[in-house]
Amino acid sequence: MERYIVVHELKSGITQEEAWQACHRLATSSVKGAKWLRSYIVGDRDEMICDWEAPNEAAVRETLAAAGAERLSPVKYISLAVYMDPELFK
Amino acid sequence: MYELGSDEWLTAFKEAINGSEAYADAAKTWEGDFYFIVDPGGAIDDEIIMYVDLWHGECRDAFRATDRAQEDPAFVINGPESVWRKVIEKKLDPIQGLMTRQIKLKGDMVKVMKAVRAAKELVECTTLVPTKFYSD
Repeated sequence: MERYIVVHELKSGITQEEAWQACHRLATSSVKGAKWLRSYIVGDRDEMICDWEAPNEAAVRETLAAAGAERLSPVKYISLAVYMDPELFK
Repeated sequence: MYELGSDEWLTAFKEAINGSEAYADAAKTWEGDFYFIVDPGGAIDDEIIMYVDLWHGECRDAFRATDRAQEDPAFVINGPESVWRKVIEKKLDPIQGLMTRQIKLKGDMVKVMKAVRAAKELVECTTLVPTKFYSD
């Protein structure tokens, strides 16, 4: 599995229920093994940055589309990333 | 100590906000008023409706409303006292509370999500108000 960083645009006009439903679908379903790991809301950049584990970028995109997440929070870009952790440097 | 949501509590909250340079900076572009509502339950018989008008880093007004029809704020946020307490005691991030529906929001969710820093500074302001909770 690879790691991907997905950067979403925070788009106005979304209700709490719509946001929760999309997050719930992402948390409880996956396409081709793609898994949402965590997200950070970066308010002053109008972005949400998400960490994914997936076999490829297409699996991430398909999972987002199936959850309706791309409609609510459009993807600005997806990048293949390398995971690092302080534990690796001890 | 001021009872959560009382006029005295809200006056102290307004003074804390207007005395905070950090809030003024974090919320300098914010435009929008709120109802912060404590749901009935436990020792609270009727919902406590706090009207807070926030504008460009300043609190223009804060008082206890008698019913929801008194004002027409852009945002209505409600939750039980136990959750508000977690927010005030900084055990729950307010944006995380909204995202996970521990507190309910009527209004533009993303506008609030973008105000991460303003929300944090607003919580800082509540910590300056000596608060008596109904559950104490």
